[in-house]
Amino acid sequence: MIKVLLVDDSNFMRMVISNMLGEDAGIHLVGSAENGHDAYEKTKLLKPDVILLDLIMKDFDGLYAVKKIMAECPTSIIILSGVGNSDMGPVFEALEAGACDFLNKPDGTKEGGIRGISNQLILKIYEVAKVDKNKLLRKNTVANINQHTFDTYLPYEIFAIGSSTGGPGALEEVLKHIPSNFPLPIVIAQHMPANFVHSFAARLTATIPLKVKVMEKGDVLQAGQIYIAPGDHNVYLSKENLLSKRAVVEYTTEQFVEFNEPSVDCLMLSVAKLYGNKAIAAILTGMGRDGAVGMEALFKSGAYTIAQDERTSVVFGMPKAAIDKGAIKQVLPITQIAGFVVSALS
Amino acid sequence: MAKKVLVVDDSLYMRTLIKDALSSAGYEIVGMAANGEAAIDMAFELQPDIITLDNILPDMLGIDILKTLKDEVLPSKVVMISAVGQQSVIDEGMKLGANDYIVKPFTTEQLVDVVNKC
Repeated sequence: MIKVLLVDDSNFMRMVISNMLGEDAGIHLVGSAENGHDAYEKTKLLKPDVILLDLIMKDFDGLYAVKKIMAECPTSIIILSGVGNSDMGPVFEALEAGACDFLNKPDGTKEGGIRGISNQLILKIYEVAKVDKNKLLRKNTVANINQHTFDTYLPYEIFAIGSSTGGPGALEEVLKHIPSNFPLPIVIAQHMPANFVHSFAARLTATIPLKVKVMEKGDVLQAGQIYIAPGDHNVYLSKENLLSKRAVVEYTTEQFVEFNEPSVDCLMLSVAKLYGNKAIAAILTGMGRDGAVGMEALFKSGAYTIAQDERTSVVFGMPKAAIDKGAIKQVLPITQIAGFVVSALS
Repeated sequence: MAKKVLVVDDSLYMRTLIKDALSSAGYEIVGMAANGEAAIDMAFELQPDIITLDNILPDMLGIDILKTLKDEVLPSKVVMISAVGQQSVIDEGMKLGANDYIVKPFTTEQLVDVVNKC
């Protein structure tokens, strides 16, 4: 039985979400709170496995709750992001403070409707309930962005990354250790709602030396630039034209089995096809199995494939799925991935 | 007492990576050199216990530095760092008296293991 504490100052939201949770026999709503301080007190008292936490509340907000809870009684926290939020900053701050995952609240649209959100929410609750709480506390490592002396001959031409739950933190850890003169384009597919991706890209750009942009159809990949897949399209890479060596971003409506918008498999399969053994790819923390098929294709074309290890992954699902397929050459803790990739380019 | 290490690599990124990894593992980094001339000067001046030696440097090859150090009978232990596909360099280095070697790409755990074995 997973014990859940629900924190939201909207009576309506509490009712809607409590109904959703009531439909699953494995979830027990043990209590609710209306502000951050109450959330903290109830966490200490009720010891829930998972906390669903709205960020915007009166008096003591969600961020206050995350910091207090993670400092004293670390628990898996899923942030419920408000409808119509244009500023995603607080969500990322909450993740940095140790919150585990996040989800858009139901907003009345078809995709944001009760049914769609409900399934996602239940799935996330089951996954984050299993997380080792100690993994959620982010350690601050010093960035190593010093220039590297890259050889004129480079054995690889692209660095591709796929990630999901726990991804934002993992990606930041990798990217802040990439040298400022990195000679390859970096493409990333992170499972994330569309409204969050732009905010995430802006946030990353502010904290690391390389520029981060959200992929758009028609973008031509440039060295030393980081591209993140949008949250409302499946993207893949193809050749700019017959004579060009450059890759260009394309959208597809093709749906993939594991996850869509963005599909890590969709991106990785195209990297395998276009770059073959000139690609380095990494599959990081995440729920589910997206990316395993893509990593397998990369492995078979001779690319260098890396998976994040269990010890540092918030959820080991995606890396494990790729490892189980025999698609991974090297399993690494998140802190080692950047240095490893850079030294592979020497 | 912490063993003293001299890090030789022309990449500031790699010097930092290696320094951080070995410092965390309890070694004292007494110097860092970005080219062969500095590496040789520092080796004799600082008399480190261990030298990590990248093979490709702007002014000379690591293997030549190794030869100079061994000719002058420097007692420092040497770990050669080379790129994939340079087995002949590694073989020559080991014959010249290098203690061990590590091939890129490597994890910092692998680096620490190799240095610990020295």
